[in-house]
Formats: sequence, C-alpha cells, structure tokens
Amino acid sequence: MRTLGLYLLALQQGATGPDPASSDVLSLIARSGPVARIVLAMLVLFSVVSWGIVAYKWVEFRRVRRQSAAFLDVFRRSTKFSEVQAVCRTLTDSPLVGLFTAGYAELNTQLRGASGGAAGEGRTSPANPRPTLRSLDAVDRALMRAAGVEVTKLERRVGFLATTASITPFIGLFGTVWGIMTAFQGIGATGSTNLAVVAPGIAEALIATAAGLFAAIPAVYFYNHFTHQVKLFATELDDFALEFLNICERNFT
Amino acid sequence: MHDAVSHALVARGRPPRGFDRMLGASLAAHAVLIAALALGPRPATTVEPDEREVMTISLGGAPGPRAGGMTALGGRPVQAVAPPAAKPEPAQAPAERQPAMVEPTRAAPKPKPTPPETVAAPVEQSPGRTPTKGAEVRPGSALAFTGGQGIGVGLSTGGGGTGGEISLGDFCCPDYLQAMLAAVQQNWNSRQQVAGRTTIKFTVVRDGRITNVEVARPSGFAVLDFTAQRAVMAARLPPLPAAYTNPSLTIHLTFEYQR
Repeated sequence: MRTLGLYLLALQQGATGPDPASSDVLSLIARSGPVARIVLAMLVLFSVVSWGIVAYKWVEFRRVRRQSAAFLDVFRRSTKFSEVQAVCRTLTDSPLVGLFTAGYAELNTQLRGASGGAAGEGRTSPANPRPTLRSLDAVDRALMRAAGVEVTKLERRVGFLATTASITPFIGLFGTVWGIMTAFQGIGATGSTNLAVVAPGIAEALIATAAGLFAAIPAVYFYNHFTHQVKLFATELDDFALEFLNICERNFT
Repeated sequence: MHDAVSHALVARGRPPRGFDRMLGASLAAHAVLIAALALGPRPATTVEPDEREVMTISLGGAPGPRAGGMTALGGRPVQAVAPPAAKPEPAQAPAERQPAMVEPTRAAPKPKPTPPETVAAPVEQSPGRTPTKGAEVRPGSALAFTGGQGIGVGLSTGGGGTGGEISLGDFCCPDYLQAMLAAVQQNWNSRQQVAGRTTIKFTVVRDGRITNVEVARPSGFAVLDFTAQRAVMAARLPPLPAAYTNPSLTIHLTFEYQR
C-alpha cells in the first residue's frame, strides 16, 4: 500500500506537469480543468492497477498450471505419501499441494492417534498392524476446507478487474458530461456557436470517455478469462480431492 | 487447541508475492504509452490548415448584387426628407352643414323672412378632416446609392463536408471580402474569347498568404482556368481580420467569363 501511494504521487506529478511542446492529446489534457484532470488521474490509476493485476495473475496462473502438472505427475508415480510430502516444498504454488497438505495432515493425525506409532507410511505398503482411519468424512472436510482456501487465493484481486470494468466507463462518462457542461457554459458566455469555441471543449471532454473505455475493455476481457481459469482450477481441485479420498478409502479402511 | 489441518491451511493462505513488482511494471508500461502518445508523430490534420469555413463567391457576370456590383444600401428604405412644415392655416369656422334634402317650394312668391335660427346643438363638422400634427417623417421609396458595394455572397461553413449556407451577416468582416474581391479583380480579365464559368478554390491563412490554389470546377477551357488561377495567385491580401477567429479561410470563387 505504501508503494501504491508512491505510485499515485508520481502519477499526479506526471499528470499535472503540462508540457508546452506536446502533441494534441496531451495539450488538450493540459488545457483541461481540475475535474477532468481528477477523472483522468483516477482512470489512469484504475488502469495501472488493473493491468498490474492482469500481469500478476497471468504469471501466477501460468506457474500454478505448471506446478500442478508436475505435482500430479509426482503424486501418481510415487508409492508413499511421505515422498509426495517431500516434493510439496518445491511446488508451493500449486493449489493441489494445499489440498494434499491438508488431507495428509488430517490423515496423519488420525492414524497417529489410532496406532500411536509413525503413521502414513504409504498407500500400498502393508503396515503391520495395518492402520485404519476412524473417519473418512473428516478427511473429506479437511479437503473441502483446503479447497475453499485455495480457490479464495486464486480468486484474490480478480474482483478488482470486474470493478474496473464496470466503474471506469461511468467515471469517463462523468468526465465527459462535465466537460460538455463546461463547453456549453463557454458557448453561453461568449454567445457564439462558432465551432472553434465549442470543439475544443467537447474534444477535451471526450478524452475522458476514451480513457474510461481504454481501462474497461481489457479489464472485461481478463476478468472473464481469469474467472474461467479459476473455474477450471476448482474442477481440478474437486477431481484431486475425490482421487485422494479414494486412495484413503482403499488403503486405510 | 492445535489442529494440524488448520495449521496447514493458514500456511497455505498466504498469497504469492510479486504483486508490487507487477504493479510497478504496469505503471512503467503506462508511462511508456503516454510518452509515446506525447512524442509520437503528430496527426496529419495539424500540419495542413483545415477548412473550417468555406465561402462561395461568384465574380464576373453582370454587375449586380451577385457580382459585387453597386447595390442599394442593404435594400432598406431610406428615410425621406421631411417636407417643410406647412404654415398653419388660420382657424376657420366650420362650414355649415347643408340640409340633406330641401323640399321644393312650388309657389313661394313671398319668402317669408325668418329669423336665423340659433343652433343649440354643437356644430357637426364635415368628415375627413383630422387635425394635423405638423410635418411627418415616413419612409420613402428612394434608394440611396452610397457608392459602397454590397456583396451578394453566401457563406457555407463546415469542414470540407456538408455545410449549410449562412447569411453574410454571420460572417464577421465583409470589408475583408471586399478587399479580396477587389484584389482578385485587378488581375483578372473577364473578357476572353469564350464564355464560361470556372470555380477556383483557395485558402487564405492568417497572415494573408494564399495557399492551395486549385481548380474546384473546371470550365472546360484551360485558358479560363489558368486566367482565374493566375488572378488569384497574383492577388496580395491583407492578413485576416482579428475578428475572424479561425486560422484559415477557404473560399470557392466562381469566375464568370463573357464573350
């Protein structure tokens, strides 16, 4: 948050320094009033934050996909939960790791309580005496809790994209309406309907709408993209939870 | 109470780091975009003076309102000279009213002298007489030729597209048009061997230079087009008046040639 404040400060400094030798769009902004500047600064801020979220989520989801694939590979090849547990420390970004960790912790607690010795020796090794689970439902609940935590983590900050997508067009529209109001006041003050009087005000006003759409359109696209990704991950989590439960039921009951 | 599952979940709940870095990258991308917008090539519309106002004037033909000839001053009636105040007539007694009908007297040998009747009722005046209020000023039908030239031109505004004709009263400076027409007419010989009509389009920029002279509607005779074009190019114009706010004035000038 502190860095965010610094960014905002830098942004405003950049926005309020009108450059006399600038091109048309920037000179329009330099000529515009305080309301238009605030609106534009807000829109740029929304755009910066939402693009930051897009990049962050993009990288995170790519890493999640890669690590989940690696984790599933390890999980299906290994014969002992403890082996998988060792791999988990290197694949911390996969949500399946979270599920596995929670399930394994629950499993370990139950087995340790039952036999008193080291538990969770493996899913195929015939222990002697064979450890049994008291409650499979408890493992299921632990997996569900873990799935909730993981999905929440995946969905984190994606909601801001939806906010950006729905708010920024309205902010831009507000700036445009305000600018056109000012332009009409200018018409009333000068008493002339000359295009040279009216046009700069309207052009200046329309920049706000353009900026709003500029911030909103990518936000809409990436919000849909990321929610779809999260849905896919949630399906994968459910699938893994059922698989884990199956293994538990097969080996420990 | 220690729960291994909760412990694991709390440890998992922390989001991956790196958001600040991505935010910084996004900010840098925006800064680059805005800088590119600022330093990028200017749009072509700013290089060329745009045609904010287009004016269509015809030159040549019979002298008259359409050609910048001598016209009545705005077509408005001029105030007539008031007639000298008539001498007030001396007050006169109103004429007596004639009786509407007189019965013919067949035999009136001896007119009986009747004493003149004293009229008790107020004397009725003959209709159609209103008291005068002195000399009255009323508009006359005379048109004063002041030597000034009216311009029968219409303006059409609009940036190179459609534009409605606006009346001359909306254009700020008819005097400037007068000067321009005179300057063009100096260099123009309307008497060529053929009759025709050509329209030249040109743009007057703020300091009075004439640019973009081109034939908008050719007459079909190259001589006529060349003559008109040369007349426009040779004209020296004063700078655009300050009351005219646009940076340039684009004019369609129609030359009418007579044989």
